[in-house]
Amino acid sequence: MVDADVKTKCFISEKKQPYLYMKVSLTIDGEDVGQLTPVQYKYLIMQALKETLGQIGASYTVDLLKLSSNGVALLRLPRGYSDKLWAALTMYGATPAKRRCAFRVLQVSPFLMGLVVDSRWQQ
Amino acid sequence: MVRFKNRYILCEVVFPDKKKEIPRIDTKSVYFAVRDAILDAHGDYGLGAVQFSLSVKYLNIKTNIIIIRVERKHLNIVASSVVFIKKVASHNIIMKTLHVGGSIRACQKFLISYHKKNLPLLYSGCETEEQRAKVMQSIVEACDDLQNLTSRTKLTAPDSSSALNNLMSDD
Amino acid sequence: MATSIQNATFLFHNYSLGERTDKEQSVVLNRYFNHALTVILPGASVIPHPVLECFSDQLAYRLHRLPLYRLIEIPFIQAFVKKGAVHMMSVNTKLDTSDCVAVTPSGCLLLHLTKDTYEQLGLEARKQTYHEKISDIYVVQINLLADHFRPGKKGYDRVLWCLKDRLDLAFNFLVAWEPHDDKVCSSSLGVYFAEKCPRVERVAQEKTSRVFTSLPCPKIDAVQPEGSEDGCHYQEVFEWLGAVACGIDITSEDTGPDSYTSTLACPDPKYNCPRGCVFQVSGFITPQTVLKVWKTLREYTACHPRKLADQPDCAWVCRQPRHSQAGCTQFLCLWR
Repeated sequence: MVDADVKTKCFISEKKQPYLYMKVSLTIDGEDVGQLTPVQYKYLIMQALKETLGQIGASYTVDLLKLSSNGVALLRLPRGYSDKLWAALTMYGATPAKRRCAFRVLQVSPFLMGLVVDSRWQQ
Repeated sequence: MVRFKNRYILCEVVFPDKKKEIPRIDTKSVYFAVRDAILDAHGDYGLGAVQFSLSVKYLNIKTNIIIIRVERKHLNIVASSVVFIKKVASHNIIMKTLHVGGSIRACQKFLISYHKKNLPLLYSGCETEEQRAKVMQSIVEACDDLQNLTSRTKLTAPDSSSALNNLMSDD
Repeated sequence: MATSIQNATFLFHNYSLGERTDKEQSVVLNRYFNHALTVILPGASVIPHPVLECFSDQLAYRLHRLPLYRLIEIPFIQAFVKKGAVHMMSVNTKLDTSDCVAVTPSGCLLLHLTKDTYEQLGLEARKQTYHEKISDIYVVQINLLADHFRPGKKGYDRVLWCLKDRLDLAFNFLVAWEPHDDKVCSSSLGVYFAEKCPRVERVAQEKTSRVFTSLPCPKIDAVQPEGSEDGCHYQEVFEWLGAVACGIDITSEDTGPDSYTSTLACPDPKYNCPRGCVFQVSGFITPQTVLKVWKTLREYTACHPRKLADQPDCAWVCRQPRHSQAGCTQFLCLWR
């Protein structure tokens, strides 16, 4: 399938990618995380943001792309705020029901493709 | 040694409730209102960044003018939170940011020109001849004071709060 | 580490399949350590069998606690480094915080050392240029194929003494070997190392495949990859590919611009693809295998031009070498 119109071209994107993708796991003390619906999960994320960054911090769009049954989720964050959001997730310590909980960041990548596999899997 | 670089936010407090007596607010209650607004809008991070340098430097109950000091780096946090303040010590208020300056002196300079601009408005708003004459006189006096002030500033730095009070008390 | 993640660049080459095959080959062959490979085929309901066959003769081993000086022994160099391509790297060593070792197919022994190890070891090294300012990583580079690298010479003896007597370094390794001679079996490497280290085991390849039905696919305009009325921007396509590879559901009503949980959606313009499949292999994959898959897939598309006439056929290849960069690097090829 040789396409005659295609010219050989090379594109280099900007140094800064628009998003940062993140794989996080959530653990809640004495509760099965697998029961959480995506909406509940997102609510906890927004609570974490609100606590550390306030209402203005919680206004950034954080996308919950995928939620697995073991509480591992794929998130998409805008790059410019990724540091703040990352910090907010790390600092979160208790759910609104006063249960102890923690977000753990497992993997980050500027491309969604990078989260398909984890090459540090081999123990 | 490096100087702490600050910014001073000049705000006007507006009382939307029309009441006879002037509500009493003090520096402390304003400080707590600003602090709560920052905590609400920017969370623990915002408050932590700002708390070291945040202080209410000046409050004039008669003209309802406030000066808030904050570190230059975190000006945006305070400036964006101040607009969300709705209550100070159980009084409904609205905060209007007039000016952001690098020193109290710069704020004071702006404030003088701001009041200068506003005095004629006050004049046209008067109803009786008597009031008009009173306002006119205070304008003249204020201008005289100003002239003295500017000539004085060249020699010695003015005591900012007293200079302000000079102007304000005449209103 | 955070800065290197944020400053990732996306490089995109656009050319027709008829030309410059050497260049794509060199791109594949220069990535020595591949961890996983994913093939996405919209329009195909099964993975073509020739693709699966590419992985059948690929062998990789895991060596437990192999002392480092074993890698500069003459029998190893003679039998393996000189007669084939050795892909070898240490595992469970984080590049930015601990020592890492790799043997490249070009016959180079690379030691990424932390400052402590470097100062105790006493071998000549240069500071790593990649993130010179933020980390104390020193790189020792030893050419195993050099003529003067043999016993009796000063350089060889010094390296052997340093690795054997001064510091008793031992690592877990992943190794794969591609002999130049087709008659030699690549499993002989495993046999050789069985005596040199406590335990040798084969690295199993994990193969997973997934079939999807009725998936929105972005249209691709090969003439204007930067987005036009008939095609999406190449970065949007890349994100979509990632979403498909991760198994993210972009069709459900929960996602979209107004959704609470996720605003990810298939970029416009799009079309609905009735079926397709995603195939993923992970393990330790040599570039030769990747190249084989690449060529097979090309033949496959060329064999069925009619079937794929108006559907983009995509495949991508991911690699994550830890020996050169802390972040993940990956590459992708996309056919239409």
